[in-house]
Amino acid sequence: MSYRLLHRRQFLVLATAAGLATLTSNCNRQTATPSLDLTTASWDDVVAAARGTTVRWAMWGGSDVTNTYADQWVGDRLKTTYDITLNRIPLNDTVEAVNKVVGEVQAGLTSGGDIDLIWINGENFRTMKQGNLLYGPFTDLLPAMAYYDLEDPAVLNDFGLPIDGYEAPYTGSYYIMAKDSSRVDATPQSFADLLDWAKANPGRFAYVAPPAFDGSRFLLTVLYGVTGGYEQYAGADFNEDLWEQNAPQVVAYLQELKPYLWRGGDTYPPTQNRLHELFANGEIWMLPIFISRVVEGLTTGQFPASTTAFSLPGASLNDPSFTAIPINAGNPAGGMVLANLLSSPEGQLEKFKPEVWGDPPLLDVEKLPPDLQAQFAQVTADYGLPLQELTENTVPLVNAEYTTRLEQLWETEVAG
Amino acid sequence: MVGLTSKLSRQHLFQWRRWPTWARAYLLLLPAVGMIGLLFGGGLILACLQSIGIIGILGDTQPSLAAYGAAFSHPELGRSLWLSFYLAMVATGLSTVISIGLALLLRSAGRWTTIACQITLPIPHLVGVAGILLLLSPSGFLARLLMALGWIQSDQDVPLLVNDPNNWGVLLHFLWKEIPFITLILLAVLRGMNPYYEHQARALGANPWQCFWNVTLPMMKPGILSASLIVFSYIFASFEVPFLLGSTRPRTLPVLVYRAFTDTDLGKRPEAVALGLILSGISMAVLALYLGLTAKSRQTYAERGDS
Repeated sequence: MSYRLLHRRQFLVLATAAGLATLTSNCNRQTATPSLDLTTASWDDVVAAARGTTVRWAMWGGSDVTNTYADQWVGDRLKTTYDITLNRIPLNDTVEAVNKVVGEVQAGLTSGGDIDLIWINGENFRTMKQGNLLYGPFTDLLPAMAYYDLEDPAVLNDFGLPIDGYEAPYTGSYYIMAKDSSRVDATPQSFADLLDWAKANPGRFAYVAPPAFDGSRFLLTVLYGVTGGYEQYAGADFNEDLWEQNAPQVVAYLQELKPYLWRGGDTYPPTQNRLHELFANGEIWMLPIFISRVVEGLTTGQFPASTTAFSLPGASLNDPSFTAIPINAGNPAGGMVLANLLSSPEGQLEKFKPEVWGDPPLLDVEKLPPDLQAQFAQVTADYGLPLQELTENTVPLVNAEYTTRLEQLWETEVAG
Repeated sequence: MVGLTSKLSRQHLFQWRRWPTWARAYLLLLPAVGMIGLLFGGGLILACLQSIGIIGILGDTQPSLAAYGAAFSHPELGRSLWLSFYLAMVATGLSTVISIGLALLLRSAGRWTTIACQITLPIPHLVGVAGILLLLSPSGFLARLLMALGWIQSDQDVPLLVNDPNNWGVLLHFLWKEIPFITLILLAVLRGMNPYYEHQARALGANPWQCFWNVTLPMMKPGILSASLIVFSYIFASFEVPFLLGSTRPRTLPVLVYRAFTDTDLGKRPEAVALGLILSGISMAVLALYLGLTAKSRQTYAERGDS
């Protein structure tokens, strides 16, 4: 008996010791690479510092194709070219990564943090820039920047906020509309048309509940569409008077639309995936959607073959996204190598392929060597959607404060 | 020799067996409590400091209770609190009552019942939610079956059971998950009971109902109370199920806290943390109340058990 008791006690002691040892070893973990001086370092220094490390990339994880692209093509390239191991950190919403960095910095972890790169744009970028939570400016170092049009507002600004070298270009996304043309003849060209169609087909249109990011995008398109275009909101600053003057029209439109939404607007799909399932199952016949998601739905057969895309001129969005490095990244050099790979012509080409992801390139194809230009032209021809036609009338996103205000407005005035 | 010496000296130093029982119990609890205290308690203290502005990200470190003011005057707090209570009460109440019936029915059935009740235990809530969606959404399996049978003409004829304003989907999910759990506990209680009490009651002329009400149920009570307590506190603070299956408005308190915490405005952080602490405070108060109210019956049972 006493023999067994002793054993149990020893076990307890051992278990406690092991637990404490794990805790302390976690606390003392050293992941930091030699710190880089961004003003003097060359790209070769960055690559040398990153070689053999692990890079941790926090990204929205709600799509199989983006996850697969990251895990397979990006992961393989990092490993074979740079001997870097990719650790993808999936997020439900990018703000979770912002929260983690905030938490780490609050706790005094100003270096050696757990995230090396974040897929980011919009209000999250503004939050991090405003909170001084970004590493950089670093994009001048990236060789891939040679293929970007540095005069293009889509590359220079993120939601109207100057990027200033703190974000590397990543996706060239567009937020447009899609419909099942076997069920829908009309192609709305304005929000008035959309409302008419919804009234004639109650319950067959839906959008994701804001503040999920694509729900918020829909609100922004409504703001542009019902208050007379995007130009008035352009510029670096938020215009309080203009907002006060125009917000009631947005509320009026959304409330008029509400009874004709899916399930009478009693409820909204909580995530993008759920919205797309509704369309795939034929519960809704028209929806606002990112262009690459239409391509994915068609390629995988999730969406009916009769699915077509269209844009609302002056309201559909040119919605690029970026990657940024947190101020306390444990491996900023690895983050930069990864950011460069994502911006590079090879990375942009790979994710553009409809069977991979279908996300349009953000780089300037004309700056590429002829053979690469031909490859991009080939993918454009195979894309399955008239990319040029769909994107030519899209407009940029404006100061993120408008999105924040729209979300608040929706929560108080529309969701009820 | 070495072993003997060390054993002797240890006995000398610690004199473990001379310690009072309570002290030994506390010492043995120390690793577990220490771990929880460090990780959970530490987090709670940090959260408190954030909510009163002692730690701040934006540089303003003026201690104030403004965040609590903002949290308590949050326009949705009342509705969210009520919804969380409502869901936890209804789901716990229904699953407890159904489980009592089920356990009594299955009491003398074979060991397969215990195994059957364990099937849902390892299934994560997220998988359950996906199952509910596949089965009950307006284009789900059930709707397709009804359509194939010609009972309905369109998916719009199907009543909404997911993300619906009445939260039927959330309730159904929790019933599916918790009924087997409570039944499992109650079966263990029932099978561990001495059957002669009931035989004696029947022999003395009690009808089946009297026997159940006066003998079986009181003996099951501790199991019922602890199982329902676990279920209630879980459902009250559950996030993913109401987030994925619940109504867009109102939102349960945990969903509201998540929304506040993921607000892109860093200035809203203290308010979000305050809301989270209010949620924790309410949970703990409910547990304390429940334990206080049920202490008496447990006491009675313990005495009866001793005698």
